[in-house]
Amino acid sequence: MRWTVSNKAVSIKRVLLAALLAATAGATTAPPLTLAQQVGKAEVIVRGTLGTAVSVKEGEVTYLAYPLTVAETITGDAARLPQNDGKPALFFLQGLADLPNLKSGQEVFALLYVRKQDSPLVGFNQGLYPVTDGKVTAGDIKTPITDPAKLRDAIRAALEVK
Amino acid sequence: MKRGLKFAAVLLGVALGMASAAGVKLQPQGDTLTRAVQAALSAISTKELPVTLDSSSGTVLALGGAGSSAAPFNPDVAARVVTVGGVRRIEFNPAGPLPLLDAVKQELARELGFKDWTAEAARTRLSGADLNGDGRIDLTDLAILMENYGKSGSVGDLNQDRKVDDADLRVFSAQYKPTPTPEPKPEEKQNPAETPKTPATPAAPGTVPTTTPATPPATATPATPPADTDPKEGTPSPVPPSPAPPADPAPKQP
Repeated sequence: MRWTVSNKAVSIKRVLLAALLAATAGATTAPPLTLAQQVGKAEVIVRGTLGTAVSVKEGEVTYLAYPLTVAETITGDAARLPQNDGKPALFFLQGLADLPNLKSGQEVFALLYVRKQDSPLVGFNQGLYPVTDGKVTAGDIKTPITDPAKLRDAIRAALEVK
Repeated sequence: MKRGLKFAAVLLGVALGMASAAGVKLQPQGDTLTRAVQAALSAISTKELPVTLDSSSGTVLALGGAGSSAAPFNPDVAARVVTVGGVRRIEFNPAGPLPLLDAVKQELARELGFKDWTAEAARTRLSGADLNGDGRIDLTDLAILMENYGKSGSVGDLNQDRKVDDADLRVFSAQYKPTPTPEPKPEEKQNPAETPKTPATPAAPGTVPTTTPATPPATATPATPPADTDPKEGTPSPVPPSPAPPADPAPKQP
């Protein structure tokens, strides 16, 4: 034995462990995908602007719906995206941990599935590329992409391979 | 006489490796998931630290969603974390990209704050010696313990006897493994005075510590690595030498 622990100590340890569990932040397990893999999976890829989220209840399930004003459809049919009030929207399961920090007015590139599910983004959060101060963060360490036009080119290049 | 026998029994228990157990509070739902969780926990259990499932309370684990979390899974997620009515649930995707056992291991490693799903990581996290919770048992933790030396009911009371004292130092010493110092290349040999004296991290599992402490503690029992091996590696760890305990911390007088 490397440490002597009485029953009392064990129970204290359990309490501590329970506290530790309660304090641990949520986490979602999604294997990382390259941009090309994300493009390969995406059913719709758009560049657009998010609106203010609204709560939408469907049966027992409540979603947060972010209206999406589509500026450009890179691939797929944006009309196939789930709609709220007759407009395409990004639906996320309410109460889901690790959702991206989405803001109203945020411009994004979004690689999407068309089915309504816990997150519409390919790779959970991976298929979302916010445009901030005219720049994006995409690619990998060796070949980072910061120019939105280059991100579009990279997506198109991956689509050709697809 | 009776006391002497009791003391001898305690010593015998120590010698035989009587283990304390860490009960992990999780509530897996259903047989399939319960079996997967138990299999995952048994993979990190050792004789020194059995890790057991305590399903009396804790985060709910479910295979698939239900009720208000019945939304279909994103096909790329192996598991998701949802809070429903104030209850935290980890829901595993029945059709996810990972086999269930792998998904359980990954998710629980995060949930329990392990660096990875190994007995070593479990020991580090659950032994209590990782006082700052950074996933390593190192001199920073020793500093915290020494800061509280002589105090009662403080951080560093590793044996839960309500005081931080030599007994806690011994517990710490048993858990601590110094980081091996890389051999300097001949042309890069440093002045010994410039060589860092304090290892930053403990030795990785199965590695051989190359540093020796200035003064071994008189009573510390060196920690032995987990008896089992990392299931991911598939090869047994070589038998490590007795890990070097920390330098004599010269406790402050309480």
